[in-house]
Amino acid sequence: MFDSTMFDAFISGLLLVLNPTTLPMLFVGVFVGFWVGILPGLGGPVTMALMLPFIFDMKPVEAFAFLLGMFAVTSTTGDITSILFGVPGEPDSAAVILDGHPMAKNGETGRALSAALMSSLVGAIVGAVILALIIPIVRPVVLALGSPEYFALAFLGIAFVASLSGGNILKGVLAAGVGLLIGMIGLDPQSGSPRYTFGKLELWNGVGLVPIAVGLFAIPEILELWVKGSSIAERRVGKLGGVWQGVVDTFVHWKLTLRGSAIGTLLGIIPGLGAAASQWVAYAHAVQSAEDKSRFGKGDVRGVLAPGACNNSRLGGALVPTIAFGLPASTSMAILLGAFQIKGLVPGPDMLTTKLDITFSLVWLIVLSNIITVAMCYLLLNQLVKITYVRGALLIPTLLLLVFFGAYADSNSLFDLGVALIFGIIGLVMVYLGWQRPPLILGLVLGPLIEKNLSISYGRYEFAFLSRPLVIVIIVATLLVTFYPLIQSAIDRRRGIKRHERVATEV
Amino acid sequence: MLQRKFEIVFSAAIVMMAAYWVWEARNLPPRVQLVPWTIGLPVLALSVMQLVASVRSLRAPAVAGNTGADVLPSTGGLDLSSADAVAATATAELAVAEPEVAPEVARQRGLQMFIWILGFFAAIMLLGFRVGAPVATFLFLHLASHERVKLSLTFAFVTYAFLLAADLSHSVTLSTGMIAQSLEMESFDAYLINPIVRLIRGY
Repeated sequence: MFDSTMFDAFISGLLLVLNPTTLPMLFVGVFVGFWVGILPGLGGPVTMALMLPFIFDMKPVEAFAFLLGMFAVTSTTGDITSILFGVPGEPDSAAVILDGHPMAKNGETGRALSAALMSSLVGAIVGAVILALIIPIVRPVVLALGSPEYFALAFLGIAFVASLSGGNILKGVLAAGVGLLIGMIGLDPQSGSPRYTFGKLELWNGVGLVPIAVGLFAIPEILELWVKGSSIAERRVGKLGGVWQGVVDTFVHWKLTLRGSAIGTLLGIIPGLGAAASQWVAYAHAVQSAEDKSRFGKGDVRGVLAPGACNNSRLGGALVPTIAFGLPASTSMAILLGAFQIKGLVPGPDMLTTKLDITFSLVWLIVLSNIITVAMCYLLLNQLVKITYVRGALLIPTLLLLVFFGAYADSNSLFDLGVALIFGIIGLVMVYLGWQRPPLILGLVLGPLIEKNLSISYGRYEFAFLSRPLVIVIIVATLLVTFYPLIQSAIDRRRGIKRHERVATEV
Repeated sequence: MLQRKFEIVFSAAIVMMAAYWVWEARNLPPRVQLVPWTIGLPVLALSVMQLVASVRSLRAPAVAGNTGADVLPSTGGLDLSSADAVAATATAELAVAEPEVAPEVARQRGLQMFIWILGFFAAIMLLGFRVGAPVATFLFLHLASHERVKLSLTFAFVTYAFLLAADLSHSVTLSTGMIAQSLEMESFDAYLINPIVRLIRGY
């Protein structure tokens, strides 16, 4: 399984990362990630979307070093504001507040921050190791699948993301459907004739992923940043002590840290489950596995270690379906898949055969970026805290510039500025009405893959490809994932009505 | 109620989009019709379902909004019975702890920011990136955010420097804006920057 080809690719991946042009990109990504992770109002996915335009001129590994370096940092530094001020710097840093913030109030700020940092590093390394070990296992599975299975898997991925990321599943699936429809705009890949271009030459190349992503995600966030006003630090934090104790805690409770890491990696593999769920699973496990539960919620370091390890191990797990099957496990992975597209890489068999070195470079990037991040955090902890005093309003012009500059840089076209603005408005409407935005991006990213696989499948088998056993299994699973929650909620509503009627007659 | 009406309009828009996609594909060759119909028909069906659900919800009574305090368990503290329970009670507690913005203030600020976003867009379209973005940055920071002139100017200058560097490095060719293009000018700042660039390159 782990033969010499694998080993060669494993070492090649490391050499690609240690390249003199790749390492600086990693540092730049980590630097950007520091600011994003610490400042509430922006998320990792939003920043990844904003940074997409900057990867066009980079080599693939440089681009991933930049993006993954940034992403790997955001979960780690998001814990800093959670602990200091009870404000999650990232959505997946919320669970750390429960015990991290009370620890800070009890004068154990340094200990809490250090525990979060060190457990994050352990989690990231565990996630990367598991990713490296899973690759040889999943490779034969990937190679055994054909275009019919990949076609069906894409719909399963959409169904998972729509159903498990919260909100109304029908809206989620529809949002993905809209993304798929938008992905059809442009020249038909088979006949070369314009399709859904409304007579506009600018649409012959399709609607760019970058303008849509930056508009859809960033504009609503910018608006929310302004509406909520500056919400970061309102008080000064004194000198941080007990830092070494936090490091010791991580290794004293090493089993819990490892279990938190395993939870994050395994749940990270499931598309759509997201950080919001996995951090709470890790926290709940820490509580339930403890003999003495009395201090949880009041400043127990174990309440910091488990979610801290879980958040950073998720990336390793999330990369498995993304690289192997082209199924993004989260919004960030959907945007990363967009980066794959931009760099001309296709997830699936290629990434586990001819491009295996790039795949292993991702493993090394996760490890290195987290080592660099944690080392820098320890060195600059007091200075990092000062970043939290930056007023949110000062960010807004920079963010708007990144939105419009990023949209324009995609193809040097003012038309894309309009696209970003229109999708910004659509994003605002979606947020207002409770529609999920990630499935739309997912549909847009998966659209070309679905189209390619459908065309190949039909060309080889006509409609007989739908009768392949695995395709049937995947389609049934997709229908179950999509419709089961709808049927269940209809049944629950009917039971609720009947119960209400029964109570009413009894009264 | 307004939200539900918007929901109907949005759902109807998706129905129309899907219907148009399916209708337009009718003239394509059979092999080429495959993808638009494979995706368009299910999307059309689902969007009609969503539209029906939206219309039905218009008739349903409005549900009173839950405050964080309403969903806290009566026993107080965290419910540790399951991961879901932990998440529910913990997020409820966090929601209570987070300061809320009054709805009227939120609406006003939201509208204000939306207008500034449109203004930023208009500034770049009309004046180009190198002039429009710094001008919009200065105006936003000074007028909307009430920052000091010095700070606003600093941010505007940094914005200009970034865009100038991007333009001169040829990594991207920035638009000079519709006004400069219609006046057949190179850009508004060309008369200032070009001599400096020529001087530097001359050395």
